[in-house]
Amino acid sequence: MHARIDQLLSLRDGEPVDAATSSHVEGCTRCREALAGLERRTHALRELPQLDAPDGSWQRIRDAMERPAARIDYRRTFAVAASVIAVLSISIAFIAGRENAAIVATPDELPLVIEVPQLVARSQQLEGLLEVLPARPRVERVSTAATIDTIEERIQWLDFQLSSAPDVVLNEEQRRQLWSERVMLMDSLVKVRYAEAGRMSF
Amino acid sequence: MLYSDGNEIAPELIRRAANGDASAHETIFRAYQRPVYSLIRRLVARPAVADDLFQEVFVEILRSIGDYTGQGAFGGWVRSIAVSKCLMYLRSPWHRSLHWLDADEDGEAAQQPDGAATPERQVMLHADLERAMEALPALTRSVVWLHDVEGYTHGEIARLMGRTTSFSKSQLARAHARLRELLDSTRESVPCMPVSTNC
Repeated sequence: MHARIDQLLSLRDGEPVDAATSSHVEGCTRCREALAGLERRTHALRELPQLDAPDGSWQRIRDAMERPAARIDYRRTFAVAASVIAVLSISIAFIAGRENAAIVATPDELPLVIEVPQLVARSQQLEGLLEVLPARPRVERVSTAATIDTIEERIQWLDFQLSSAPDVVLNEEQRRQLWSERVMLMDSLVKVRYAEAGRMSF
Repeated sequence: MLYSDGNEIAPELIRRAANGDASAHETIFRAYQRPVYSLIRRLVARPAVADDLFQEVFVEILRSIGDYTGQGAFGGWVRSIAVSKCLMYLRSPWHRSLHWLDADEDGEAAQQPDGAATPERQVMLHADLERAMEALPALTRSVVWLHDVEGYTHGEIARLMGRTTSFSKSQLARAHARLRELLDSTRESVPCMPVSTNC
């Protein structure tokens, strides 16, 4: 039995692989070639030449910089935004709950202090739910569209904060709070989208 | 690695940029425009979208440069903004609604076999690889690039994408299987040229 590609990738990356696979690859020409091919491709990817930005980019960026920023100081607006989102989420949960209360658990159903891995898992679970929902309709209520956009923007902002973590060095509590808010927003988003999908079907 | 090639910016320049110094902004733009644009183009295949994202990323970098704490490499901070913006776009309903336009499953395969690396051949190989990468679904392509080129771990990719580590691993495996298929099939598809005769 030849090595699977995921096993070859583990070998390429120096990750642990079971001894049987490892010794098979050592003695198998086909697997060794496949592994060498993976290494060649990875090397080739790293060697791809860099691309030049389009002409006039700097001028366009300067022009954009001169326009007032929508959100300049995230930290200053954090408290205000969090309050607005909290109120919005409660309203959405109430409205969506009326239309279908059983679709997902509300944050209230979760334990009081939830650790980051659980929050990440919950967030992933909600992402999965979102993916199976039908696409947003081309025509939708302005209020619904605005609500969804607001929630998505906020989630994007949280993702930005979380993805900058290696550089910004968030402590565990800060990460927990960000993930907690992400779960709450994802939960609201699923509810609104689900309610919208329900309306579409009528 | 796009950001560890001696491209680091002096702290004094970063301070000046944070204080709104236009020439410092431009210096930072000049230093990072190629790696940032290349990264965006590799994650987001559609050039028009990549151009817009490129502008957004730099506006964000220059506007929020005061938030850079000096912990970690400046290049890494720049990269995290670019990656984050691209993934936001790939997750957005706008991108998903356009997704059917992507040649995800039926992308054209590369057209040149492996061989000696003459400059011309090298250019062809790069073009083949770029085309094969563009034929991958957007998220799969992002996983390959972030893991194999940018050095992100599967755990970091999972967190960025709000998915699991096994999602990242399986996407990487699928991507390499597909890349191999695309690149190998081109060897077979090289047309046989009739041997000319003296007739």
